[in-house]
Amino acid sequence: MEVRVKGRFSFRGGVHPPEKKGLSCESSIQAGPAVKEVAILLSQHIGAACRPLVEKGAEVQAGQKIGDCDAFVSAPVHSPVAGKVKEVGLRSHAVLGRSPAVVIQAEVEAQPTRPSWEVNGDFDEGKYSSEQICEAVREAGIVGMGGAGFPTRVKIEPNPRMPKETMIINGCECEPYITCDYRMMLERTGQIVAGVKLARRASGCSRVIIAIEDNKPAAIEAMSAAVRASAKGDNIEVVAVKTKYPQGGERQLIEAVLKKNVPTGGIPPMIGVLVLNVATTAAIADAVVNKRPLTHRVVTVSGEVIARPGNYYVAIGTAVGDLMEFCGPVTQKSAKVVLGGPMMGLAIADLQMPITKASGAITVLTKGQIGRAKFARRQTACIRCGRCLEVCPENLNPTRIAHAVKSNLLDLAESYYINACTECGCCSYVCPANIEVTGYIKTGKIFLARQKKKMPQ
Amino acid sequence: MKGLLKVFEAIRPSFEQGGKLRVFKPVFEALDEAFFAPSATTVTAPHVRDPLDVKRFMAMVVIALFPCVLAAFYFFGLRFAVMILVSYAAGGAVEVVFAMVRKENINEGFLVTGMLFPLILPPTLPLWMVGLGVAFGVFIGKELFGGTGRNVFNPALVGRCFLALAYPAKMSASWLGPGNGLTGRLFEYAGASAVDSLSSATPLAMAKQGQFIGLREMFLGNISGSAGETSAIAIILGGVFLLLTRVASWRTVASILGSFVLLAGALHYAQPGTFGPVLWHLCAGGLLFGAFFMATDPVTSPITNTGKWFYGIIIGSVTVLIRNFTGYVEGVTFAILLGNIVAPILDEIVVGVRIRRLRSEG
Amino acid sequence: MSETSAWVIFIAAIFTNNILLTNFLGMCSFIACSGQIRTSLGLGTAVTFVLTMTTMLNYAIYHFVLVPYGLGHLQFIVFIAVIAAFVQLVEMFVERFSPKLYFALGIFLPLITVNCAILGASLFMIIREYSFLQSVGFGLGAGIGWAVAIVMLAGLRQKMRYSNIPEPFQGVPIAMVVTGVLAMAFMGFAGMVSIQ
Repeated sequence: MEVRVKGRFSFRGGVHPPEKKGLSCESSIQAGPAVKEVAILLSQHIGAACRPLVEKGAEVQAGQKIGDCDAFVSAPVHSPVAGKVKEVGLRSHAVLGRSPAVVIQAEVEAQPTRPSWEVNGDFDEGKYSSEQICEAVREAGIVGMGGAGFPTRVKIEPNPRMPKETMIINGCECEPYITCDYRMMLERTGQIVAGVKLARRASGCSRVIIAIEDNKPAAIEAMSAAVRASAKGDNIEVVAVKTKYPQGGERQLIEAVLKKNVPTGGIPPMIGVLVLNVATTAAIADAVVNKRPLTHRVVTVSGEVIARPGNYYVAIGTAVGDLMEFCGPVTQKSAKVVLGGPMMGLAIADLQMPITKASGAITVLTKGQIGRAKFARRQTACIRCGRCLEVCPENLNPTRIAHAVKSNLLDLAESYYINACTECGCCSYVCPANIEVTGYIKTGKIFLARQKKKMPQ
Repeated sequence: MKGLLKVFEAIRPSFEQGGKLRVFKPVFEALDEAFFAPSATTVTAPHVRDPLDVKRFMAMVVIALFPCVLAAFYFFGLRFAVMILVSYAAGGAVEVVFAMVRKENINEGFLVTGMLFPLILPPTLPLWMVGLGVAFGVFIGKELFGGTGRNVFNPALVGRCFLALAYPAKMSASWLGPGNGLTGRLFEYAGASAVDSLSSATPLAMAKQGQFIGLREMFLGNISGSAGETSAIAIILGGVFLLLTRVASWRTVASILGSFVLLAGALHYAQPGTFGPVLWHLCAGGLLFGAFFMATDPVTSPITNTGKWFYGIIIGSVTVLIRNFTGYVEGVTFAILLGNIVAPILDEIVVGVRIRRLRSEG
Repeated sequence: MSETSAWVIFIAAIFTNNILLTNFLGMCSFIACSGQIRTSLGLGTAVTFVLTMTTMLNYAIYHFVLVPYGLGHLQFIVFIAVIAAFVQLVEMFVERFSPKLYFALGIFLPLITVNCAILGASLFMIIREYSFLQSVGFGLGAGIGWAVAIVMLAGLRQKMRYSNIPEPFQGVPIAMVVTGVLAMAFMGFAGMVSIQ
C-alpha cells in the first residue's frame, strides 16, 4: 500500500491551534500510578446507565463484571482489580455532574501492568464469526474510546437496513496535547491491525481506510508497514489527512476521506460508513482473542506545568488527582484541569473524578495559555466579523444561533440547525470579541431538549 | 507597573456594586484594560483562544489610517488636528454617557469612528459642525441600536450624510486648495479665510463642468477634497495593510472596485465626452477611502462571503449612478448607506439558500 | 401632459420619488408590518398589485366617466370606492391561495384600502396629468418602490432583533429612526431623473 505522507484530504472550515504534542509524543506508554481505590462509574457510555451487580462488602475479581444493563444501547462495566466493594455511591461525572459508581478497594496496591501480547502478521480473523466478535465486544464492555463512548457492539453489528461498506479507522488525534492514540499506533501496531480485521469481519465492510493526520509521519509509516506485512491486509488503506482541527470528528473525517456528507441529524451508517477509534480497535482485539474486558486505557497527561508529561497505562476508575500526582509535582500555578483536550475537553472541579473508558487525556492549563489578551471577564458585542462562519466545519452560522439562544428564541435557533452543531469549539476559538459561542449553543441544545421533554429539568 | 496595579486593585471596590463611584465603572474598566490584561477565566470549552481580539482589530484599522492622516496634515494643515480633537471629544462624550447609562464598558470601536469622521469632511468645515455631525452619527447611528456591534448603519457615514443634507451650502463651500512643496501646509492653520474658490474646487465638481484634473495629481493627492480622501496612494497603502492583516474583507473591496470599474468603463466607452475615464474616477472623491475603510466595517456589512460580493456590486454601481446621473457630485456616502441597508437581506437570502441545501441533504 | 417617457417615470417612482421615502405616504402598515422579511414581501406584492390595477382603473374611470359628465369633484369618493372593491378581491384571492400569508398579514390586508399611498398615487396621476402609459408606469413603480422600502426595513428590523435597543425606543420608535436614515440614503438619488 503506497503511503502518501503529505496529507491531501481535508474538510471545509476548521482551525489550527498550536499542537503542543512535543511534550508527550516521545514518551512511550508507561505504567500508571499504583491502584489503591477505583471508582467505576455506572454511566461511562452513551445509552442507558448500568445497574450495579455487586453490593457493599462483596469480593470481586479482576475483570469481573460489576454493572450491566438490558437496554440495547449500553455496555457493561468491569472491575480492573481484585478487591472488595467499598461502597456503591455517587461520584463526580464530567457531563452528568454526579453518577452512581461502584467503588472498589484494591487488595494489592500495584501499578497496572499490561499482559504482553504479540500479534503478528498472520493473524487470521476468519476463525471468528461476526456474531462471536460482536458478543465478545459486548461482554467486554467496549465503548468508543475516542471520547464519545458509544457502545461499540451496537456500532459494528451488521444492520440489514443500513449495510456498512466502508470502515474508517480514526488515528487523527486532532486535539492539541493529546498523544495517546499516537503512541498506541507506534507501540500496539499489531494489536490495532488485528482489531481492524476483526471489526471488518464483524461489520461486513469491504473497504477499510486508516486515516492519520500528516503531523504523525512515524505512525503513518508504522501502520503502513504493519498492514503491508499482514495477511488479508489487501483492502486496508492507510491515508494521510491534512492536519487541522477537528479532523478527528467523524463527520469531518468522512467528508475529507470519502468526500461524502453524513445527512444532518443522521449517523454514518446511513451512507454505509463506520468510524472507529484506534484505541477501540485495539480493545476489540484484546476482547475477542484474549477474552479480556475493557478495564484499562492509555491516558495522556500533559501541560506545561506537569513535571513528567507522558502517556500512562491506567486502570479505569483511577482518580484524576492521583494520576496528576504521579506525573510529578505541578511546577507552576495552574488555572484549569481539563479532562480531554483544550478544545473540547471539560474543565473539572473535583480532582477525585475517576477516569472513564472514554477519557483520553488530562490537560493542565495555566492562565497564560488560556489566553492573556483573550481572558476577558466580559464578552464584548459581536462585531459580525464572520470568522465563526468561515471556520465552522458544519457550515452553520454560529453567531446567529448563539444570539438566538441568548435572546431565548429557541425555535429560531432550531431553524438554524442548532442540533447539527458538533460542539467542536472552532467558533469560540476564533471569536475576537471573546463571545462564548460554543457555550451558548451547548446551553441552547439543553434548553431545547428540555423544552421537548427529551431531558429531565 | 506592579505599583500601578496595586493602586488599581485598591480603588477597585469603590467602583463595584455599592461603591461610591459605581456610575463611573465603565471608565474605570476601560482604563484598567488599557493598562493591564483582563483577568477572568473562560467558562466552558474551548479553553484556548486565537490571539486576535477586538482591541487589536481596531488598532489595525487606526494604524492603517496613518498614511491618510499624515496626508491630511500635509495638504490641509494643523486645523485637521483640531478637527480630530473635536471629533473624539464630541463623539466620546456621547459614548461615555451611554456606557454609563447602560452600565456597560466603553467599547474600543469608537477609536476608529472618531478618527474616520474628520477624514471624510471638507477641511475648513466649521468645528461646531464637526462636533454636531459626529455626535449625531454616534447617537443615531450607533448608540440608539445598543452600541458597538449592534448598529445597522456606519456611524461616520450617518453623521456625514446628515451634514451633507442639513448644511449643503457649508459642506460644498469648505474645500481648500492643497498645500505644496516640502512641508505643504504642515505648519499652517488654514481656516475658512484660506478658502479660495479658484484653487479649492474639487475634481468631481470641476468634472461636472467638463474639466478633468490630471491623473498624477489625483493619485498623489495634490487636489482639493475631503481631508483624508485626496491622496489615492495613502489610502491604498493603508488599505492593503488592512487586507493583508485580514481585518478588511478582500471580497468587499474587490467587488466594489470591480463593479465600479466595469460600469464606469462601460459608460466612458459609450460616451467618452460626458463620462470621465475609469482611472480618474477611481482616484476621485471618496471611492477608494469608502471601499477600503468604510464599506469593510464588519458590523454593517454582510456576514456571509457571497453576501459581501453582492454588497460590493451594489455599492460600486450606485456610486457610478449617483456620480454621473444625479445632481450630486459624490455618491459614495449614499451608496454605502444603501449597501448597509440591504446587507441583512443579502445575508437572509444566502443563509436561506444554505439551509435549503442542508435540508435537501438531510 | 408631460413628455417624460413611462420608463423614466417608472424608475423615478422607485428611486428619486419613492412614494414612501420621499413623499412619506403609506407609513402605517409600513411600520406595523415590517417585522419579518417574508410578511413584508407578501404585503409589498399585494400593495404593488393593488396600486397598479387601481391606478389604471381610476385613470379609466376619471377620464371616461367623471370628466365627460362633469363629475370631477367626486374623484376622492369614487377612487376610494374602487380601491376598496379591488382590495376585497385581492383579499379573497390571498385567502384562497396563501392562507399563511393571509393570517400573517391579519388586519393589514384590508387596511391596504386606506393606505394613503394607494389613493395618493391615483391623485398624483391626476395632478401631474399623466397619460395612460405613464400612469401604469407610475403605479407599478410606486408599488415596487413601496415594496422595496418595506422589505429593506424588514431586513433591518430582523437584524435589530439581536441589538440591545434602549427600552423607550424599542418597537415603533426605532423603526421610525431607521426609516429616517433610509430616507436620507435615498435622497442620494435626487436629481437622477425628474418626473415633474
